[in-house]
Amino acid sequence: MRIGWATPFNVRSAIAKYSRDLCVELSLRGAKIEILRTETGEGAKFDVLPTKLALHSADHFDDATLRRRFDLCVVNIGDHFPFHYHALDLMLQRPSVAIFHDASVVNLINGLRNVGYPVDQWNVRFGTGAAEGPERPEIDFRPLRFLASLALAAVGHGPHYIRALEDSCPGPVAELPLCQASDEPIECARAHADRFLIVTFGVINLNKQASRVIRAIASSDRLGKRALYRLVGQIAPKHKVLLANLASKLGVDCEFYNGWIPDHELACHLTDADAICCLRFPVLEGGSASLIRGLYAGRPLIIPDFGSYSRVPSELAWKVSCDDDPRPVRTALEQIAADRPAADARAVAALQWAKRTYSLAAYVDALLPFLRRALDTAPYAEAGRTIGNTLVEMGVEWRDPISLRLAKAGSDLFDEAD
Amino acid sequence: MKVLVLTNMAPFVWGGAEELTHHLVVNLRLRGLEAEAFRIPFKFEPYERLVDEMFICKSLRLRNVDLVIALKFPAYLVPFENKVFWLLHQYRQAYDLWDAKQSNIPDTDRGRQVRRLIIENDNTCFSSRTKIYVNSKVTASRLKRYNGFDSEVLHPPLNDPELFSNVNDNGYIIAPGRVNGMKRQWLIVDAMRYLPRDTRLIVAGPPDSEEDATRLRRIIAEWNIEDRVKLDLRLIPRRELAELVGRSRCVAYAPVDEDSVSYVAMESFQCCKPVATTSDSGGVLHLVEHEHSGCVAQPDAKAFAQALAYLLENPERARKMGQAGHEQWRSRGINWPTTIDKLLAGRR
Repeated sequence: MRIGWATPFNVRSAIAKYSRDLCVELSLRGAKIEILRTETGEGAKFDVLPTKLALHSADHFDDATLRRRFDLCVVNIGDHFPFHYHALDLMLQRPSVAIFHDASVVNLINGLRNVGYPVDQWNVRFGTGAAEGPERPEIDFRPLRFLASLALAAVGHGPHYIRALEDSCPGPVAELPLCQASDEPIECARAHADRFLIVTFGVINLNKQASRVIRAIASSDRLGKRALYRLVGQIAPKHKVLLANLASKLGVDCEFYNGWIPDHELACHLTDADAICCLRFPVLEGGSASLIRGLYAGRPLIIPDFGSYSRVPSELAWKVSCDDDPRPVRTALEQIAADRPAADARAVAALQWAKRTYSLAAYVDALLPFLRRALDTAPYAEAGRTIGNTLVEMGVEWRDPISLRLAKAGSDLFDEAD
Repeated sequence: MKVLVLTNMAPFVWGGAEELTHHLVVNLRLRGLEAEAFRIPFKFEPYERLVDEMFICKSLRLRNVDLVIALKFPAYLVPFENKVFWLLHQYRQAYDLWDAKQSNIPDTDRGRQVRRLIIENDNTCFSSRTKIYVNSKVTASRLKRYNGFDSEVLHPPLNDPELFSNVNDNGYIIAPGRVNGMKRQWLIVDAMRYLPRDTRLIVAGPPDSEEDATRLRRIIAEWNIEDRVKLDLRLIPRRELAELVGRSRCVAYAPVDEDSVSYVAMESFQCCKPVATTSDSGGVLHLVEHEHSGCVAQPDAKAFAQALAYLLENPERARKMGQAGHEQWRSRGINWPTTIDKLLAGRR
C-alpha cells in the first residue's frame, strides 16, 4: 500500500515522533510511505526529525498527483494550528483517513479562521446538523465533527470522542490506543531519598491540574512535610507565579524544572518520582502521550477516570474523578505513600501492560486492516460526501425526506456491491 | 467554441420549446460553433419528485464545454461557470400558479418546504451575475416579481419562416399547436356551437394525453358538430402545417396566460393571418392587438365565438388585420442571427 502520511515532522511535536516510529513499523510491514509535512509559520521553523523516509510539504502535490502517487492519504490532526495548518487543505483536496489526536480541535479551527478560512460558515453548515455529543459539556465537538465529515475514515485514541466521529464521518471509525516506543531504561541518581516526591510533567497549563495536586498535598496530614511537588516542563510565567503563591500559602514544598526538557532528563525526573500525577480537566486530547510516558516510567501513576485514561485497568493505576476535587487525589497519594512496595509492584505491572497495549506492533496490527477497510469503503464515503455537499448547497435540511431516500439508495447500492 | 444548450425533456413530447432547442443548436452551428443540446428527463409528479429532479441537475458536472445556454427549470440548475440564461419559463407551479391555487404542490408543510427549495435554488442560480434573457415580458415580470431579478426580453424567432406564407383564403379556422388543457383548444371547439353551420375548424396538433383528445371529442359529440370540426391530432409535418395555416381565414389560439408571444401567433402573422385570442392569454397579447391584428375576446365560448364570427363575416377586414400583424411582426426584426448575437454577447 502506498501511503501519503500527512503530519508535522519536527523535534517539538509528539505527533511527529509518533508518526516517525509508526511509519518505520508500517514500512517493515511492506507499506511504501512518504511524509507530507503539515506545519506552517512558527511550526515549520523547528528542526526536522531525522528520518530516511521521503519528506514533502503537504501542499507540494496537486490532486491528480496525489491520486496517482498514493493509494491512500492518512492525515494526522492535532489542535496546534502551526503544526497542522495544511491538514485541512489536503483533506479537501484528497479524501483521506484522518487520525484525530485531540478530541478538541478548536484552536486549529480558530487558527484557520485567523488566516481567512470561512470557519463561521462551516459552523452554520455543520455545527447544528448531527446531535451534539453528551460526552462532556466542556468540549466543543463542532470543529471535530466538521473535520470528520471530510474524512474517508477516522481513528480516535480514546472513547470520549468516538461517538462524535461516528456521527460525522461517512466511513468507518476505530478507537485505537495511542502507541509510543518504550524508552530504554536509564540509570538516574535519586535526588530526594528522604522525601515523598510527586511529579507532574509536560506543558504545565491549567488543565494539568497542578493546583488540585497542591491542594491535595496541603490537605493531607499523613503526607505532611515529607511531600515535595516537582513540576517539570514548560509553564507560562503568570501560571508559575500563581502556583508558587498557592504552594507557599498552603505550605507545600514545590519546585519547578522549567522549559523544554530533553527526553533523558525527563526520564530521570519520572524515575525519581514516588508518584506521578497525570491529571487532566477537561480531557481535550485524544490519546495521551503523557499517560504512556508515565506508565513506561514504571512509577505509581494517578490519572483521571475518563477518556483514554479510563482504558487503563483500575488495578494498575490510581484513578480519580475527572473534576477539580482534591480529595480523591489526596486519598490516592496517601495510599501510595502508605504501602510503597505494593504501589511499586502495581506500577511494574502497569509498565508490562502498557508495553503490550501501546506498542507500535499492536497499533499497526489494528491500523493496517483498518486502512484496507477504508480503501474498500472509500467509494461509498466519497459518494456520500458529494451527495451531502450538494444537498447542503441546495438548502436541504439533514432530516429532509430526500436525504433519507438518498441514504437508502446509497446503502442499497453499496450493500449489493458487497 | 463549444456551446451546450441545456433543457428538459419529457420523452415523446414535442412542442415549441423542443423546436426552439433544435433550431437554436442548428443556428449556433450555422454560426460556425460546435453546439449540442443536452435534454434532461424531467418528471414533476408526484410533487415530491421535484426535489429529486433538482438534486439530479445540481449533481451533474459538465466538462469540455465553453458556454451553456440554459432554458428551463430544473435543467438550468446544472452548475457551470459560464452560463447564459434564456428562460422559457420557471416552474410556474411554485410561483404564479401557486398563487392562483393551480399548483400541483399542495399547501401543506411539506409542500411549502418543496416550494421554498425551488425558489431558493432559483435565486441562488440567478444571483450568479450571469446574463438572464427571457422569452417574453410575462416571464420577465414574473422573474422580477417573485425572484427580484432583472432580465432582458429576447423573443424566440420563427424557426422556419421560409415555409410560412399567405397561400389563399379557404375560409376555415385553424387551431394549431400542442393540445392540452392549458392551451384550451376545448374552448375553441366549444365556441363552434355558436357559429353558423357552414363554419369549419381544424384542430391541428398532438395531444399531450389521451384525456386531452377525449375531452375535445366529447364536446364535439355533445353539440353534434362532427361535420364542422376536424381533429387532426398528430405532430403535423412543418410544410403541411404551413400549408394549413397559409390557406386559412384566421388562426384561433386561446391559451391560459401563455409565457411567450407563441409560435402559433408568429406563424400566423408570417402567413398574414389574423389571430383570435383571449384576454387572459398572456404573452400572446404582446403580439396580437384587438381590431388591429386580430380579435381579443373574453375567455368564454360565446365571446370567443363572436370574435371568430367577426373574422368569418368580414374577409376583407380579416385580410387587412392579417397584413397588419405581418408588418408588425416583421418590424420587430426577430430572427435567428440577431438572437444568436445577443446570446453570445451575454457570456463572460
